Amino acid sequence: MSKQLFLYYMNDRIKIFGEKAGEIPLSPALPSLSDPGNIPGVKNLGASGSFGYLLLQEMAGNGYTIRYHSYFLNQDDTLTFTCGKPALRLCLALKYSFYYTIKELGDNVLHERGFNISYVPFLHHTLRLRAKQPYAYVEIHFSIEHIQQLAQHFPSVEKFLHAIKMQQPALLNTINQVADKEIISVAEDMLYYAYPLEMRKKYLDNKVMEILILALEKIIHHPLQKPVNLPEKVVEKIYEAKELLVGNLKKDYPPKELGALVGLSIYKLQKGFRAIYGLSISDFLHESRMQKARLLLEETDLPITRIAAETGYHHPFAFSSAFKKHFGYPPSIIQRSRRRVVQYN
Amino acid sequence: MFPRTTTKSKTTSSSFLYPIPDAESWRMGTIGDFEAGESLVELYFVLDGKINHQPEGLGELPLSAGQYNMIYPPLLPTPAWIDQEQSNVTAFAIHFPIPYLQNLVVSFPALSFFLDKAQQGITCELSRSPGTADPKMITLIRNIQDCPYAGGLKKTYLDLQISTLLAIALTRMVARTSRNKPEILLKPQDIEKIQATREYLLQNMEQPPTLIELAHKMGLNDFKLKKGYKQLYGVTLFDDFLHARMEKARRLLMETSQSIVAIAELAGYKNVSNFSVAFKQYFGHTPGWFRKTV
Repeated sequence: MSKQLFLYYMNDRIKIFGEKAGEIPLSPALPSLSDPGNIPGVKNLGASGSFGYLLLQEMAGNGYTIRYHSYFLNQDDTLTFTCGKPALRLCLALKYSFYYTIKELGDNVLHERGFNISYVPFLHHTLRLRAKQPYAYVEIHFSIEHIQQLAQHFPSVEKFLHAIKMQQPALLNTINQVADKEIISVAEDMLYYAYPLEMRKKYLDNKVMEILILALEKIIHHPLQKPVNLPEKVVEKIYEAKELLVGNLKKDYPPKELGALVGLSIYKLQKGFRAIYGLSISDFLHESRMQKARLLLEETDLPITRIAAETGYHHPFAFSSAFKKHFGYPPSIIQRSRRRVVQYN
Repeated sequence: MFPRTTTKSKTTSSSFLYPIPDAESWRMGTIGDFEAGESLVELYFVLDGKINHQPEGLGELPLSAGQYNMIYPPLLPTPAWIDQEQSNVTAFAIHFPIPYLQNLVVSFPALSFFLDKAQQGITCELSRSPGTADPKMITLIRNIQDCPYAGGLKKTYLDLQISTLLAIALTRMVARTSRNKPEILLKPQDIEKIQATREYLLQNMEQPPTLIELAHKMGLNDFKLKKGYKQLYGVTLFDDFLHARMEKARRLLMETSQSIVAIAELAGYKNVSNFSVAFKQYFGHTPGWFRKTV
């Protein structure tokens, strides 16, 4: 027995069917610790129960809407989202793989960091979700004017624009793309907004445009030529390997050992990492270390020597120069700017 | 819907990046055109090294890596203001026409005082104490410097990055002054005395004087010292001093094996339990816990 959920977003009414979950009462909700903070002006709607939980957060701006979804189910299920309104949006998967079907556009999958821009005259998509996995993705709905503004720089979007005008479902590229670190970081800037409220509108206006430029550049000028094609079992093992890496940043796993731990050959492991993240295992590890270091610098008062050790560097100097090379600023900038913020507030 | 302010104001901005003092290797990128003879205001950042410049009538303005300020008239590209001994200075600046900034006065009222002065041709700076760039600002500067695009897209992209950078820079700097009560007038010698007070306090942390004693010692009255300190550093003297004491205590706890009683004394507390309470209030944990866990 499947029942419907009604969810009011702006003026859109979205229905969510859970094939197994039954009726899930949705109500204003508080985000959990792992989700972007409870910023004023952000609508939080969620549901939790024996089925697991759903959380949908929304920030609306001038002609665009940013939505962050996170799901955790206790049993495998298939959720169908429908809405009578058209949707022109960029979808970016942040956690775990979304196997989905969009009506008239067919079956596809977005792995972590996968993204695409699509248009549908009315929303109808089905997500096949696995139990006990944390899912998260962000979608940015924008107006046709956003793309029209950039059309002169990306002439090939004309075909896509034409489909929108004819109200035909369309994908900007039939192959889903993999986001690079610039795209991910702009998405994070949107979700983890750190400035006073009065500035948010302008900031988000700019960030929406920026992510669109980056996405169009990638999709139109440097697209993947072949879709990521990995068996589900392999994808799961890649995620397992990723968790091991990210959970033990102090350690240097030789690829062989990592492969043995999750049950993949070195070849498959390396190939899988590259396919999903667009990075080699060692580049991925390096990136994760740098992200962790930045987080520690932003959130804790740990000294740099300690942060270096936490992220697998024996020597703080090597750490500092790697950090600077990666982010373009030395670790001390974060500490200093934090100190100032503490003083102002 | 997309803010086009930069483009619409016809006169946009230009950015300079240069390793000093090799004037030959200045890289200069200009976006848009300036009206000849137009008054420009400069937002400048020190990315690396230290500079000390002395614009007429403003006294010394030292800036170290990561700090920024807004000034009229532009300092750059004049190499004279760079301390010659500091050869590894990297600075970055963006020039804005005054009318462009006037559009922002609605959101940042504190700008109006600065812009009025600039319009009269008076040398001035947005704030006596420079702002400190946060990582997002540095990333934006990098994006501006390394813009991967060309032609019209480059302009669109740079407009976005520059307007975001400007908004964050003003937010971080102006938000703190606009909330304050009207400022008191500080003469250059007052500023020197307040700066000396800070030095004195940090040097003599173990025997902190009372505010009145301190003011007398420095030749200021206590009202001026309190107000002026806040105005100059954006933080009260007490908070600043507390921060310094706590940082010192934390460092000693982590790096030495001195007893907590000794550390309390070094941080200027005669009574160890006062110290513990203050420490717990500041960091959320007692010194003992801190030592055991960290």
